[in-house]
Amino acid sequence: MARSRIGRTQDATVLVLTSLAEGPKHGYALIKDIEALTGEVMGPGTLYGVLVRLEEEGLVQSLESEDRRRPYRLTGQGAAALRERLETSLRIARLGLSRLGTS
Amino acid sequence: MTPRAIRLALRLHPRWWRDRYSEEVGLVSLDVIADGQSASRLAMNLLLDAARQWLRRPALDSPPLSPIRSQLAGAAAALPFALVLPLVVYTMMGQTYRSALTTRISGGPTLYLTWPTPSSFTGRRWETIAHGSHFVTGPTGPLVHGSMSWATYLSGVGAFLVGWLSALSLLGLLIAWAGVRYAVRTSDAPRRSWRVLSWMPGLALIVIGALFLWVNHLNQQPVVTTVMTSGHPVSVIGIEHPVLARVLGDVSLTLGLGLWLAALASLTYVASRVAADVRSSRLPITLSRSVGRMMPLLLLAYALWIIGLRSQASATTRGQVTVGYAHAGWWPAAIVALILATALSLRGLITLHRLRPRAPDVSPAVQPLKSA
Repeated sequence: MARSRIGRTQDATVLVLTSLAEGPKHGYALIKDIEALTGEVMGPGTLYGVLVRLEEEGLVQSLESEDRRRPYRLTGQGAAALRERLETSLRIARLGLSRLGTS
Repeated sequence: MTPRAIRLALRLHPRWWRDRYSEEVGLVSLDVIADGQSASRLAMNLLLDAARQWLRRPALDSPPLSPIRSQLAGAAAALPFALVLPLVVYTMMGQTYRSALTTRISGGPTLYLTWPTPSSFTGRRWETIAHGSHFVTGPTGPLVHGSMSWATYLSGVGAFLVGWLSALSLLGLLIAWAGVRYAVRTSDAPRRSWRVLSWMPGLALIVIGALFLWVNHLNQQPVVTTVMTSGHPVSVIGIEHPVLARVLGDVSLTLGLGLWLAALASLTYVASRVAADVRSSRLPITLSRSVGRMMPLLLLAYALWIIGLRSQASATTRGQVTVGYAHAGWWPAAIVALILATALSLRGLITLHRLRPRAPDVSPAVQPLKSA
């Protein structure tokens, strides 16, 4: 089975948004949470590449620093975008599974 | 302590990114390394991100429609004018050209804001004309009439466009300057150095303007000399002061370029430090952005002018009169300046592009996903 790769833009975006849906987190907490979700460590470069873009798009928002570690939180717009993405994925997953004949 | 490879990778990010994220990412990297991850692998990950960040436009440090940044972008876009114009003007000063009928035609038309015609030469009143061994003096315009080749015409069109567009870009520069002056005046705690530096463009304009007028004045003074031709004394009326005008031309080129660069550097320095609350009118912003968008046309005009000048340098002949007002020796320098101007102008345009308005985040509140 092909090994999954964190770092592909779409996956990383969904993972970061999903992690933040639980509540505000700083960079290291995000990496640990994503590691718990996927079993793989997301590099800081990949993580902040995604965070910078999401922040610009208004999907996440940085909060006041806690001892130089800045937490990030999901915005309303980010939550809506994540919900839409997950619902689409869910529809595709259900359709794919039904076509495979898996109950 | 952050490993050297990580520090290097962080340093390779664009400045706007470093200012905002470098320390934070450095701390996260230390945490991840403490968990047993390889520092070299993290450094590679950061290097890839550095490349990504260089390839994308930064938006976090460029709020939409920041007047000062817009005006500075206008100034940056106007920089080609400051750099190229003195050089091109210099290439046209004090050079001697030959023709079949004239003993000499020195210099060329002044940078006129009129469409290129023989009347472009009317600012130069008299030339010495040789018909065989017989010398007469006469106005330049009729000499040029009928002798405007495509190269002369092309460079004339270029000069016409450069003249107008430069005037408009100078307007943009003045607006940028006015914006910075306003920011310094309205700043809560303006530093003395800001006040001094913000006047640099004014000083540059005054000195360069004075030098230009002086050189132009000297070039308009008839200088009468007598030469012996075929054993007969002939009066030659020149319109150029051969020594002082040349010296001043050199001075104005060096001093002018230096002052322009100093002025723009000062403007940039002050604007980057002063806290500006310029909810100014839309007009300066719109004008500055228009100047930036006008720059490709200005560069095209420069290109036309220089191509025309270069083409004329190989002696343009129409009928019995050869007229050229180019100096071939300087065209490579003009091309280099044009390339530099292009790069700077593009930089200004990129900055303007970054300043385009963005849609704000209209729903900042967190919506609980789990309830969905």
